[in-house]
Amino acid sequence: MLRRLLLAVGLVLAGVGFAVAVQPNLAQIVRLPPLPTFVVAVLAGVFALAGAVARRNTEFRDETDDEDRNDALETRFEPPRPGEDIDARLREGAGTLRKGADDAQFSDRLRDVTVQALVDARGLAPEAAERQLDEGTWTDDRTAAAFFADDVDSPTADVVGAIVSADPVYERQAEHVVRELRRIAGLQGGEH
Amino acid sequence: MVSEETHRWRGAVALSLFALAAGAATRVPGVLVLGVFGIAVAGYAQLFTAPDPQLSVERSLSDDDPETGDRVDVTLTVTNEGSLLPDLRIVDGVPGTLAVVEGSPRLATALRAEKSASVTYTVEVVRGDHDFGAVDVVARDAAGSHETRTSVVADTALACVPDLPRLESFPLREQTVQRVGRLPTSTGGSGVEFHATREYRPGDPLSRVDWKRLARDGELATIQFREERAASAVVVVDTRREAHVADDEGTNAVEYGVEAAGGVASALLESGDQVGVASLGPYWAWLAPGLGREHRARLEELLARDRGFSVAAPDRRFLGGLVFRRLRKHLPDDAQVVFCSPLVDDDAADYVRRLEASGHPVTVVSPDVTGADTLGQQFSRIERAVRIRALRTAGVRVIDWRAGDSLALAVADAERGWSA
Repeated sequence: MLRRLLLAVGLVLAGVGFAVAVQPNLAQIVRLPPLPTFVVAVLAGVFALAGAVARRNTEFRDETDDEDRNDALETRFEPPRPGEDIDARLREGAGTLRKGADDAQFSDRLRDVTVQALVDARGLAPEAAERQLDEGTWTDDRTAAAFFADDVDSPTADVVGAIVSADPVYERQAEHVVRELRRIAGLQGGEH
Repeated sequence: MVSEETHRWRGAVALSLFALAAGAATRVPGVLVLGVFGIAVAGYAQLFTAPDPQLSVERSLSDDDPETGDRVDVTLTVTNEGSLLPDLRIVDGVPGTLAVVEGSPRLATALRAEKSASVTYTVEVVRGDHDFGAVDVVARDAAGSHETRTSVVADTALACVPDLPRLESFPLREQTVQRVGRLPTSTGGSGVEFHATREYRPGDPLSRVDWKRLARDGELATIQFREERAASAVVVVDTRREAHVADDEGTNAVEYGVEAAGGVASALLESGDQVGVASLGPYWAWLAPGLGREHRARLEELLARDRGFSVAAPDRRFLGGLVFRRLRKHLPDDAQVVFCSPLVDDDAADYVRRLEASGHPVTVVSPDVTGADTLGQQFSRIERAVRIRALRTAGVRVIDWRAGDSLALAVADAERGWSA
């Protein structure tokens, strides 16, 4: 009740102030006491500062709370596409030339699959397939061969192309390996 | 119910007071008026308290018994049983398994006392039980300085139990129970398909005597037909987190797995075999092999409604070793396994090998949901192809089913490959 009363008084005073500001002659009619304007200015300034400090100390709701809340409201589950984890890792590592821990994991998977594909398609023993990978002799594609073999370098044109297009060399080599694998595994014509 | 201040006007008050101070110091009426106006607005905002929404909610569906793929209109009606709500926002609790294909389950409105507001949206129905959740409500006062958040319970359930998909036949491996059925065995005996002839033994039925041979050579021989026995099979659907992957249309591989399980079960039941189903995932589901109309109905119900076969997000940890042991324990000794899995991870292939090694002949039905648009998708496709080849090399039959194509065609293609 007191809150509303004070509010009503405040609103009336604000109304009077507004009216006097628009028509200063009203001050004489309602016989407001003469008050130096600098006192009003100082008081308003102090209250403004107090308001600003109060605002600074206010704990506003975290925007992420709303995002979390929205996620909780819309629970529709959309499963990922197979291989989305690899694409996400490559996106995160885009632009970097260094191999990260995730890249190493992807490299291991790529190596395992390549060995298995060579064993299946060419009847090699796993050790022989590993050796071909290390020596870079498993494919005629030098870019793909360079992915596993330390002694094989990517063709110069590929390195220049990677720099010009800002594609990481690692990703370019991986693309070539996958292209070769598709051929070997029979998903693109095939060797068998 | 949670009520709190939004502090929306806190900065406005400070700014207005600064304007007031500046106006008074410079004696510029315009600035002073601006300050007074700001203070008045802030005062107005303080006039209100947090709203206390008293709402009743009613939800209606345009179809209570829809088929898979049907579109159902959902109408949500909110009635204000309290005082005026100048700013009311609601979001309906759409089940996570249903997609809203038209309209929006959200509504923002002002609602006077005793008045109602409605929102209608359309969902596409998929297999399973779908429970609508509580309606989420946010109510604010006219100035937006106070907010109340609450939820209103409105239980509505939508169930869709499709018939088992039709599949003419499904080839099982050799290994059967001692019961007459349709599975050809390598043992000679009674049946319809010729197997061999042997020397006549007293007691052999006259209908099986090889009369042509008797006329030609004068020898009495008995014709043996390929003995046909019934099989006992358990269709295991891979519902692990790894199996929840989508094809290019967004369909979950688990959905394809359940469709395949239904088709396989239907075909085997038709041919007199005993069929059971199991879910290999975080939610265990099991139906022992059986026969008959009642068993078929139970199987239909389980595949459609059990959480174990749901396409909802897996929200529980999968204890692989434990679940696999449980599956082994439940499998009858003579049961074959039909494993429905997208085979997008090595563990899936390992489970197949372990089942095969434990004496249960396995046939894999693998919906192919891999793509070729990105490097990751291409690599995943290659990994899967290599896995399938390794399984086939180990003697496991794999039906590679291109998702979206007919399962019957995939089965027929695979059969041609096996008999070639």
